Amino acid sequence: MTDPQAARTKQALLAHLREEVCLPVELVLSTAESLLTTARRHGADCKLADLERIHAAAAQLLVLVNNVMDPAALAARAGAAVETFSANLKHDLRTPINAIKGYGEMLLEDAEADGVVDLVPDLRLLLHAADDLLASIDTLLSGGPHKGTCQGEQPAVEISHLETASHLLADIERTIGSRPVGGAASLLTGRILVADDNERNRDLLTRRLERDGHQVTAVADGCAALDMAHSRPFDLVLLDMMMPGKNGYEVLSAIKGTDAIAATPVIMISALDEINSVVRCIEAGAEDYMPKPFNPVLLRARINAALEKKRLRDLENAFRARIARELDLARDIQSSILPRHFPTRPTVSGHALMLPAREVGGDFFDFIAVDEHHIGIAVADVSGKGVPAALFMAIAHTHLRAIAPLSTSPGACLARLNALLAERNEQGMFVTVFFGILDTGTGEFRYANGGHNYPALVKAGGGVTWLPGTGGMLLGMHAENDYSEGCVQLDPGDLLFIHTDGVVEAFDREGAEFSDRRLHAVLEEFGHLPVRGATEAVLAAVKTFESGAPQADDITCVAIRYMGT
Amino acid sequence: MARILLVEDNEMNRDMLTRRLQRKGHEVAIAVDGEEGLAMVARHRPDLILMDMSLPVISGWDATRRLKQDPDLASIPVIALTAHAMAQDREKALAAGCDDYDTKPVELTRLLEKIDKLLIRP
Repeated sequence: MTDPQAARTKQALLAHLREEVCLPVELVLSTAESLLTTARRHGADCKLADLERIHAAAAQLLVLVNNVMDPAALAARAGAAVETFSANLKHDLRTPINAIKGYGEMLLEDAEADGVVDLVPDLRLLLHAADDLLASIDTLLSGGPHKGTCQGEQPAVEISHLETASHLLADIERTIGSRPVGGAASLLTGRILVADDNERNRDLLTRRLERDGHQVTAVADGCAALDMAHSRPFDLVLLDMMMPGKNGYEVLSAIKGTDAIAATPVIMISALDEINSVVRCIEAGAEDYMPKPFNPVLLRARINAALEKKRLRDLENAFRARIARELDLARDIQSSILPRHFPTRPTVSGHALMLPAREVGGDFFDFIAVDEHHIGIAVADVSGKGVPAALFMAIAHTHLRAIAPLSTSPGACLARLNALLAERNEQGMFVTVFFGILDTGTGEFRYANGGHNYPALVKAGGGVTWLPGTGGMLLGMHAENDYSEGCVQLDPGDLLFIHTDGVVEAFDREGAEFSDRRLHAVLEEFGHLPVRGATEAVLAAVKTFESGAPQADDITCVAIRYMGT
Repeated sequence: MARILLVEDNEMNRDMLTRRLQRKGHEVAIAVDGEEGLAMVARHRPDLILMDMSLPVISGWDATRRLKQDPDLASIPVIALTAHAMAQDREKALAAGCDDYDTKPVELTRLLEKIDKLLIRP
């Protein structure tokens, strides 16, 4: 066949014929298995022997059907007369069906007479499937159903159809080769939605999946599938490609287009071996696809794989959610250990503002009332960001709060803090600390700078200068550091602006740095504002400068104004 | 009820049909191939024979033909059972001398009707 359209049509027809025979055989076999399980569970041992015979006959059917599709057997048959081949095949298949039907009817009579009702539904299904299979075999081998099957009186088969049927069979054999059977137990179970308009197929799938321990909900068309997917959570959706109402592709698109259910994995079921449709579905978000008829082993493997992926995604999401909750809590704890207000003094006002780059940060500040006339002011920045920085920040901050009230010497305070931090610091973390003590009566400000950015002094009469450094090393690395002090006399109206490097090392989209120069300019313009206004002006300038670029580091701004007596 | 000889080589089908007929009150003797079938007929003179057509050793066709050629045994009704559901099978069965014909899978009610019809025949 050279015409591609005709080739596709033929392929579709072959897929259909294959389905017609394989589905009922698998249904018969799975029903027989299910009957055995039920009988064993209910201790109905007297039924086991007959049920095992049914099962054996069903297994024999499967072997026969698989043999039909064995290329070697086909080659051996190549010379045989068409009629003989088809007639023999039909004969071979009818023999086990005869046993299945006979034992099935007998068991059904017994079950109804004994009042053992547990086996009745499966027995009915078994008989129904056997009839179905019989009809399919006749259709496949004669090109159409014939009355002889049911009546036994008028076996009228059109021999002329046999040749066509035989060629189709040969094509089937060439097309699909031998099919492996058997299977390992599925490891994972889940809630599975099955959407298929073919009742037999739906039943088969449902039973197979239920036997593997899944909770199955089955629907017969696309609209029902979509309603169901919306109404409750599923771990997996099996969607037939061709359904009335909405086809599989439309349902898939609708599921993937709805945020609430978009994460549900979908496996497409396609009777047509149409690679284009499959590719479109996978592009639209399908997890996988299954060609019909199902290879039970492959079906199980794919379902297991999809459920495994879903499980890992669910675990990951749960883990993320837990981490997010913990980080939220950590942020609350962190912000709660920082002072909310500047200590109330008639001569001094102060304000602090902090913006971590992540959920938790390594910056901290504090205002500590050393005594009635002295307020300690600290701003610090721990190396790194995130959780490790936050932990080290908590340690440094706790030590500082314990040490600061003991001395009016900021240098002595930093030396003690450094020694404490260096003592237990295997990770080699460090922290830069600016610590100053303001005499609220005189305006004298003594300070020590442990590797921190230089604060700015905004004079009441105008002019911005940097507080000279004191030569102190950052804290935590070497236990023996000394910290000398600097001193500055504040005049009424003067503003001290203390910040961390998140301010001056903010970057814009082009990678340019905010820098001391811009901070200087902002303070010249807005340094006369009240303390809160001044900090907010700096932050606003930084944010404007960043223009949407991600914040590189934690940002802390502290402003202190001495108002005099 | 009747004494029926079932000649069938498939163990499962033999067991199944035997038990079903017994349930309906018939007495069932079995043979597993055409040769044994012929011997059993001569020995037990059943009221009716259910003969599978594809039998080993001597086929159902041949066995039936031989029975019908024996004036002593020709009156015992034979129902052919075959898994072939082809038009020519039926004609072949009747030509071989079978009194009736049924296909597998066996529909019990239908088969019982055929058995009854042949048994009450004068």
